[in-house]
Amino acid sequence: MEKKILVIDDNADILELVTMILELDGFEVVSSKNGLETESLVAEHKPDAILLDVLLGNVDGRYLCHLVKSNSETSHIPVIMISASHAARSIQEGYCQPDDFVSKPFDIDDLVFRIRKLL
Amino acid sequence: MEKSKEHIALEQAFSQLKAELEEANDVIHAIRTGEIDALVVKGSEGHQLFTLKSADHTYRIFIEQMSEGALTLDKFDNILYSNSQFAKLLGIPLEKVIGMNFSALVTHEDRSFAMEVVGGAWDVDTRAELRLENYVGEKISVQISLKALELDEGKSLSVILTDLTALKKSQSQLEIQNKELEIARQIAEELNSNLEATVKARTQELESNIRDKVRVEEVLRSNEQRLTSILHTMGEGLCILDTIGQVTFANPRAQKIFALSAEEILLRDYFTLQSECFSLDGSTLQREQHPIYIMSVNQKPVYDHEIMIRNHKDESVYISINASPLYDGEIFIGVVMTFTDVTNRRKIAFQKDEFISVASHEIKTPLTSLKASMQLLTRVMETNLGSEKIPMLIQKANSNLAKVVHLADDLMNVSKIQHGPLPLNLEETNMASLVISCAEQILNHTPVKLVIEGEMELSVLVDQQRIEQVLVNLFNNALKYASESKIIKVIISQGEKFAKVSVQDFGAGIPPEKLAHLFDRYYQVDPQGKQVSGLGLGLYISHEIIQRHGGELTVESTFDFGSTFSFTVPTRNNL
Repeated sequence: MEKKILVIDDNADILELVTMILELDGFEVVSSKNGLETESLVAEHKPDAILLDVLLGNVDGRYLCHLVKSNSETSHIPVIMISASHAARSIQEGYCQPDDFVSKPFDIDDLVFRIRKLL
Repeated sequence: MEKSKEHIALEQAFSQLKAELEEANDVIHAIRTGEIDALVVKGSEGHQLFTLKSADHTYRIFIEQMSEGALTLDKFDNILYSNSQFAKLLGIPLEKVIGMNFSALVTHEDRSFAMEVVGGAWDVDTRAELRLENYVGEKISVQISLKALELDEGKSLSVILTDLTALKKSQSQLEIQNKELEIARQIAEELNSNLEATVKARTQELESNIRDKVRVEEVLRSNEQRLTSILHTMGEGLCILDTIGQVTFANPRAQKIFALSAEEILLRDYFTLQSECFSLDGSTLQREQHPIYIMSVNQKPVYDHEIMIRNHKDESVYISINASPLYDGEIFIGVVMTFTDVTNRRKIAFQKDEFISVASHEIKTPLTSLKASMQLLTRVMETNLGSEKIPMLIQKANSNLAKVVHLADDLMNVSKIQHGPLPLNLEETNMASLVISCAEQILNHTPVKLVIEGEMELSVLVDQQRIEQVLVNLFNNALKYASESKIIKVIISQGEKFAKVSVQDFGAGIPPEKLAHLFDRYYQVDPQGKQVSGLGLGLYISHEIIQRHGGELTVESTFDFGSTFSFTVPTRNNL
């Protein structure tokens, strides 16, 4: 059975490209540009992993991570955060506790490797 | 033995002579003492009466008693008469003086002169000075007054001699005293002259010192005024602290930075000047961490020590402190502290840090798409899976590459603006065509429609590329910040020398407090808490471009009802 990955990024190009990368690697992808839909999409699709951009425009990705990880029903879902900012690496030690962190611009093989490692 | 007749005759003759000698001596004594006025002498011609006509009794006593020597000389210069005073003068018994030749009593040196004087005196009364010689060979200066006398018994010369020894001695002493007096006078004169010169020199010196002092006082007063003026107008705050850190002086700038009055500030020490102190990392600064405390402990100056304070108006101010101990000789007497409000510098540093972070993020975003597109293209070409996606991947690679180039251009433009005015290549262009061309470029793949109104034929004199840059930026901003707006309306109108182009959106509008900063470098409006992409350079660059054209870029916005950005550019009438 294909593993389902939820991808949240406000940049349409990145969203489309990441979706293509993951689909080519055999994942089922659910994606959204709107961070505010994260909770409902998690509840609806029960993804096996979540790929979450830090800067989402209308909402802070770290806050969304915190929501997922602080909810007992979803806390088990691995969350990988993506950001162009090096400073965002410190989020791993912050309140949101993601499972991994990927810096932009990422290597697509590395991205897939990190997702598979957490599944 | 009986005496012979001859013997007896000789004894009788001797006795007679003895008697005659005693008689003669008595006579002489009687004459000298004035006891007799005349003598009867028995000669060859019988008895003759010799009367002492010119020397009556009183006169002879007077001559004998006078202090001068008195002589009478005959024509052979023999002394016929001498008073006792003359004999005493020479230290020779009076009886021996009588009958001596006067010249024998004169010194060898003066003798011929004496003879001339005496010789001449027979004809005319004479007075002269010469020297006698006493019996021990001592020289005695005398003044002689000579006068010829006609007496019954013939001519004789009276000589009065005044002993000048005492006079000469007095004269000599007087001369010595005069010389000494002269020397003393000269010394006194010299001293006086020196004194005058010294007084004059001292007076001049004093006057010069007074002038110098006055000049120095003027310079000091002038310097003090200048210093006071500097202290009152300088951009840096300055406080003088005593040895326990209490403020003893604070200039107006210091009072302003700490928000304390001139009286209030003097009641404080360096730590209570502000209500709170913080390190640059935001942590509260303890007294022991304050740069003045550190300087006082180490007794070494501190330079550019930056801290953040909360002043007494509850404002946060970053200050850079320089402090140095003050010494009087080797005694520590306090601290001079200068400080600069570096809030703006710190703000700019924050802005730069923020900008670098934003620029890095903004460049990485299209680079991520570009890199992913290229890697996917490689994979598709290797595996032949998803080959239908190739055009989409190429398009994404190109558009993201264009975004990177656009960002690089923005950075280059900012750099150019900072280093001088942007060069313009002015040409006549139809404004409406420029608007339409840019709108197509930006709005084509969006649901937003362009509505253009006004002077469609209006020609403007602009750098076409730069004005396109402005229009693209305004359209992009409208899409980014007014995404809910369905149309973008452009109105072109003509002024006397300028064309006005207004770009209107119907989005959320811009909060009034943010309008003032809209054209600042790095400034980004963050409407309704949204995080938006971009470097915050677009409007700054656009503003510079329009200013370079001699026009203005302005904004009007009504919150919740949209914004209108307008710019003016020269028409051909402006030529």
